[in-house]
Amino acid sequence: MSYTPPAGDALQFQFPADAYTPPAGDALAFSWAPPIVEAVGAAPTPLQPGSVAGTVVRYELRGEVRNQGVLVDRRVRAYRRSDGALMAEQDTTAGRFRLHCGFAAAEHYLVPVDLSAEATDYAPPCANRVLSVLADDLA
Amino acid sequence: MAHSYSVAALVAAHTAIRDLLDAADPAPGVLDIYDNSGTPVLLGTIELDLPCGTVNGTTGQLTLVQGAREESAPASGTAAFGVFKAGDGTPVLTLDCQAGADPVSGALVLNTLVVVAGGPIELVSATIG
Repeated sequence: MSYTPPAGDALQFQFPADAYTPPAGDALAFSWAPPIVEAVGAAPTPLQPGSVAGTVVRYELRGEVRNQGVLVDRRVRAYRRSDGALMAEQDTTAGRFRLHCGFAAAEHYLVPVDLSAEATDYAPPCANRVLSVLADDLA
Repeated sequence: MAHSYSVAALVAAHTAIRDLLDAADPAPGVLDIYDNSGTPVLLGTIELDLPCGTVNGTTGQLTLVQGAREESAPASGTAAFGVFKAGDGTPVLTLDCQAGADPVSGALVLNTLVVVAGGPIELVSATIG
């Protein structure tokens, strides 16, 4: 830090560069200290959240039932084509169904049955060789 | 630049995570997946490899590797969260589950959250960093 004394009779002060010792007694004392620069730091941890992906190995049949193009509610039964085992059944909601069909892909045949008292589907339609797909909540 | 860590710092941090997961050697680390309807119900346990993964010396990223998948889920439920644990059960990292197809930072992404007892569960990928 440099100091330039004023011209003329003005009062002049000068501090030694390294230290200043105030005089004893009633003499005027000056003191000076360099300003303190405080550093405060905060940084996020280097550990980032993990990105993990897994597969729940579960297969399902998804679809809808329409009568002359209109969504209708039916009880859908799914049978495994290879041995005829009933794999799942579900009443559709707004014409749509999602059936859990085991833990391996397989062909099925689906029968939508009208359970109302007035039903006339004596030979309900059948969808054959429908392949189950890996479950997907977003589909 | 907001902040950045040196690769050496990232390698050290992620190596520490890996070592925590391997701390119960010879018991491998695991990823446990839980339902969360009241008391957490275990829906599946996926074993990690031993060592559980590798830290990339260039990027510092930790990649975890599956040792053995869950072959038969012990219970049915809706997957809510997963916990990476050391082989002695000490938890290291917890992640919430979400349904999806692609990995998401900070989440355990599954194709479906609906787990049916008896079904397998597999780890497709797992990275930290």
